[in-house]
Amino acid sequence: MAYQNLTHSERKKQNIAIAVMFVFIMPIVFMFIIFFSLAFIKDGSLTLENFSFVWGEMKLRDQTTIKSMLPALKNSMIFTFGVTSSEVVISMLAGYALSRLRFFGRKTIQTSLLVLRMFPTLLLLIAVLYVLMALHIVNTLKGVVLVALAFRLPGSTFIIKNFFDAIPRDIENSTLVDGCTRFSGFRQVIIYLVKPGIVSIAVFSFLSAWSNFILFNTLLFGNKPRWWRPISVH
Amino acid sequence: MQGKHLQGYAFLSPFLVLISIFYIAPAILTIVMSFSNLDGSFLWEFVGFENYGKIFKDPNTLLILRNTILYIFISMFIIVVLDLFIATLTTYFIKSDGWASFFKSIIMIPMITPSVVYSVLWIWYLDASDAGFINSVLRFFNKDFSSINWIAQYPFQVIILAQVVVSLAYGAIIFSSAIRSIPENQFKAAHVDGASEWEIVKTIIIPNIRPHIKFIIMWETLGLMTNYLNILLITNGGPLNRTEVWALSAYHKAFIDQQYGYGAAISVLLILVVFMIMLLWLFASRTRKESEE
Repeated sequence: MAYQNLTHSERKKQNIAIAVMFVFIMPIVFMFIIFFSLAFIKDGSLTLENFSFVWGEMKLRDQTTIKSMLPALKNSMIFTFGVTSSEVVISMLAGYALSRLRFFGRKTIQTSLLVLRMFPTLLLLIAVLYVLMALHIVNTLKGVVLVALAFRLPGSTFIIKNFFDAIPRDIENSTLVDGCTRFSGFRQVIIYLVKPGIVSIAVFSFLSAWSNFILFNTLLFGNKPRWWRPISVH
Repeated sequence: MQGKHLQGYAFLSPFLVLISIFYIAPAILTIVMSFSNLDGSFLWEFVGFENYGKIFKDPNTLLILRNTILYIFISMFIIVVLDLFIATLTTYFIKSDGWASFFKSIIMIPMITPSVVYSVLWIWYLDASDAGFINSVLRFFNKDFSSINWIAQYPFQVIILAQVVVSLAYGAIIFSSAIRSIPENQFKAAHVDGASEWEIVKTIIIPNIRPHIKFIIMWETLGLMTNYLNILLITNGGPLNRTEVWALSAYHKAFIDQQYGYGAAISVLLILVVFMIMLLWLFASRTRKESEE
């Protein structure tokens, strides 16, 4: 809607609405700005000193020492990168098969995808711990990556499947006519047509992996890799 | 034909393997576990329905059930009303796209904040000492104000507030795209007929987005029922079980008390409720489709 062709009363109402929304979001904005600005202030001056725990040990005012966060940062990066990259690859393969190929049991998998997507994964943690023990990968980063991956797969497969559904079939048929196999056609042509879908699942996956906490808290015990919480330090 | 089936499964195999090991198998295991008294030593011993009997005998169950129901209904009601309010303001009243997306992105900030950081933010905000943000602001206005331990005194209100702020964005975005898809001429006709803005909201916007409202109610109910992260991090069910909800009590029983069997039984009951809501939703959306055809 173009701004120019608003009537006088419409513009007045819009201004009132903008004012109301401003009042509404003010507390949220203030809360976040004040909180994050604290990270840069120490003893009344603006510094980056509060971040020194990232590369070395740091002493707090009450004499507790915080170890360097570098190992934790490394673990977080491995975890996030592992989950995001494998999630994109696996969900693309699965989404393509579900959208294009005809095989026995396709309808069942499609319906169960919907159910799995809404299923509360947090309630499965108890049994997941047992499965990890049975596979002897309990208390390792590898195990947590696999679990995080499995929990996120139904959602991202569902999203990418809808992107595949939107590609015209003719493009694919012409790759087959030109002598591609299903897989090489997929790899050389189809992938480039679903770029927006890939970006969107990668972003969602990255966000959720980077801020994942509950899996670490429950599935790793003993020598925990400390999670990335820069601001809680202050 | 045989090769065609194989090809499909070749593409699907990584997906199927991961899902069945870390998703389907745990789901079945949870049910099996709930009939055993599995604990920290991981010895299987089947005890029939003893765990379920234990749930009904536990004196805290009634309190937890009451907390869960109150928590879900109050938060859901506030979330849906505020979502409608935000969506109507940002899409119907604010016609400029720049302002609308500005407000929507501000609303999204709490959602994309990692939940650990978000909870620490609330804890710091409501800190009991004189240095706590709310306490110091109140002292600024009223010199002889004595500090309140907010989280200890109003734990229930605090978790509802924190959960509402973080859940606002999803519903607001769904509603606002639904409002945008309402044909413009309905609004024009209403204006010509001299309808007031309140009547337009009541008789055009809300009936048009009714399926979306139903969806958000279902979605938020499921989310509030099963997602205990914010409660875990802010109050941890305390003080004295005043904010303990059903899903969180399964977590506590299993991972703090090491009673995996008992925790699994609590989860199974919750999963049954979730399934019922999901079936109800699928049934409702199917009948709606049929009545439209």
